[in-house]
Amino acid sequence: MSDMVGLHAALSGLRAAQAGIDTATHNVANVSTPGYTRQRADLATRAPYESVHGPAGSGVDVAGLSRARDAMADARVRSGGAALGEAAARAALLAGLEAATGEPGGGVAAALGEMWAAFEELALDPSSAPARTATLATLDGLASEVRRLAAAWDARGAEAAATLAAHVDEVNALAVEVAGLNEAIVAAAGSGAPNDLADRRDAAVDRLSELVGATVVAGPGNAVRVSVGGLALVDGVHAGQLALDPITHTVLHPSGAAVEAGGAVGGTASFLTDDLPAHQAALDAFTVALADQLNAAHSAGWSSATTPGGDLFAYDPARPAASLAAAITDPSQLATAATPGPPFPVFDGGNAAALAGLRTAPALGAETLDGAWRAVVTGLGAAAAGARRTAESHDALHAAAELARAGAHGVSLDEEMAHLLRFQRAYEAAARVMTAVDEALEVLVRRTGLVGR
Amino acid sequence: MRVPGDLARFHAGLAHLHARLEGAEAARERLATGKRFAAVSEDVTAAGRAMALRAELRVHEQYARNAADGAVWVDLADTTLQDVVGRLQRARELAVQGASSTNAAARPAIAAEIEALRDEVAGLANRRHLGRGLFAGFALDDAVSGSGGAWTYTGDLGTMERRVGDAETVEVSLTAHGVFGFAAGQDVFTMLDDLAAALRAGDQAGIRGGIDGIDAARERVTDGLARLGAAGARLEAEGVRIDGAILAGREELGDAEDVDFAEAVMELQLHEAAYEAALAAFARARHSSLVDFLR
Repeated sequence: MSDMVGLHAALSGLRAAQAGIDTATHNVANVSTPGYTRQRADLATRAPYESVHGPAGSGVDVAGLSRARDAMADARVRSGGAALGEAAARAALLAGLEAATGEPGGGVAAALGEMWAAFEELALDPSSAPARTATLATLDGLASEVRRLAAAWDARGAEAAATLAAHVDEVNALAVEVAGLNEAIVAAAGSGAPNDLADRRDAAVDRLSELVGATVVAGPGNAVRVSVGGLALVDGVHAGQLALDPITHTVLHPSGAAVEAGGAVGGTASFLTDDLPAHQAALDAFTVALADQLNAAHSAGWSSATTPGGDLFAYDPARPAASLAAAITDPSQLATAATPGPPFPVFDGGNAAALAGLRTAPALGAETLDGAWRAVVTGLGAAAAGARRTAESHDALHAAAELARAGAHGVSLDEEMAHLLRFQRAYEAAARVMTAVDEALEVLVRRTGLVGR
Repeated sequence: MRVPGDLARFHAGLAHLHARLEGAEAARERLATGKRFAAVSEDVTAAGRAMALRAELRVHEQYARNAADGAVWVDLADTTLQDVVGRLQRARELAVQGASSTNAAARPAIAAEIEALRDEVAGLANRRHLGRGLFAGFALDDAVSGSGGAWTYTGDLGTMERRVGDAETVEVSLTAHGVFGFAAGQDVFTMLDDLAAALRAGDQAGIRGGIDGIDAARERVTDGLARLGAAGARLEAEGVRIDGAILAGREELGDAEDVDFAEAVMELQLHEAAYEAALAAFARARHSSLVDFLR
């Protein structure tokens, strides 16, 4: 009887070693698979049987295949990913706004400088048709530069809104995927741990946390519950779908409540609701100050004995920067003279000089127009620099958390080789045990009854 | 602590390589463009300063042009008034000759020459530069005109100014109204007309009055010359100051935004060496594996 047990025990050893080799093979095969978690064959001794000597061992069982998953490491990576997603989205969008200004060295600052110089030049010889035409060209240039910037910022806003919508679509698709995987994992639980499905679900949840700052808690039967800003997105096999208000850029939960989203969605939404409007308002305020100040000064002058200067710039008060344009098109309408005469002082550049003198006059609070524009640009630059630094520090934190998690989860070829070797030896040893038992049985079977012959 | 698995080590190694390459690329771009920053956000303070300095530089260049332009007007007015002084000198000599009783027969000829001198002075008063009367203020017309023996100032009272600093302007023109005596009610042209008439009539008192008038007129012109001289000297001094400010501004702008090339080259070499070291480390790390040592 005990010999037969020996054969069974050796067989269980062979099977266990085979399972170990298979698992190592699976690990090696997936060494480059993103999101793959190293698996282990969990071995346990078989229940003992009652031998004549008392309870005795009967071999080994493969209790199951487990994933080397560390929930703490997952949580760290996901919260880091959410913070990084938010900071990186905002930094990239602000960098886009900044790049559109063309500063330093170009853009509105250069156009302003050209305009002041043109007014000075006009004051030198107000009767000169080329000087008048050139002045008009610099006014056009400045207005079109401001308009171009406003249009570029509008375009960045539209791109950000489109990105936000795409992100929300992706979140909804991922929610459906996670719910589907939940269902598959719960259904497969009876037939063994569905490790590879769990890996796919973890990858989807990682992406969800980067996108909306989702948090995860384990639910019943290996299912997970995913929530965003405290509101459930995936609950078991049910996936909620987020909606987006295209005007206010608010993310809406199926229940109708506004979601406090983090991640890339949160970063993009806060750019659309806070950053972009603030910088656009600064550009508009600068535009209004520019137009109003130059218009007032130009209106004080005369372009002929009977014609006072009108507005130099026209704009729509509802959207000043996007609509700024030179109000005069005929160079002879430039009011260069400070008095109308009579007779009209043709060579009087007094008002042109006054316009040029506005360069040093306060226009927006205590700031000159040049200074006000610098404040717009450096304000944006400082915001972009701050956002970039935040994104860089989150990037470093997230990378460290990911590396630590990968240490816990990832496949090391050296380790798998060692395991492979170990199980190979175990297999050989179990086979040798089987041979030994077989030889003992052979003695029993062939020699029984021949004793003393 | 577990050493990260192969895939994680591979990605971490790649990330390091990428970071090194980024550093090297940034150093290369600084060297290629010669600028310390390409965007304001890279150095907000320096970029703001550079913007202010560049605007300042642009306007100083314009002030230099303004000063040079003003100097042209001052020089032209100055040489013209010197010519006027010469004509008045000659007129005074003629009047003194005419006053002597021995020259009674020559008086009509002297009167004719005085009238010729008067026309020359009128021509000088109406001299133009770029279509614009030197002494006519801002008006399009000639500065003086005489018809039927009556002389009038036909310009206006505008004075050209040239801005040479944020708050400094220099007057660079005089009007015939002041410098030729219209303002004082005794313009030089009517005075010369009266002198010629007195010479023809042999009116000794009139001739003496004419000589006094010429002296007064010459004094007014000399006054004008003194004012132009002062304006010219001021423009020259401001020009020197502006050139200095432009040089200083360029230097300051360079300090604010230009790279120090020696430093940038060193930095680039450092970054490239670091990149190569990272490449070598990555290549070596990928080499060793237990796989190689098993049969």
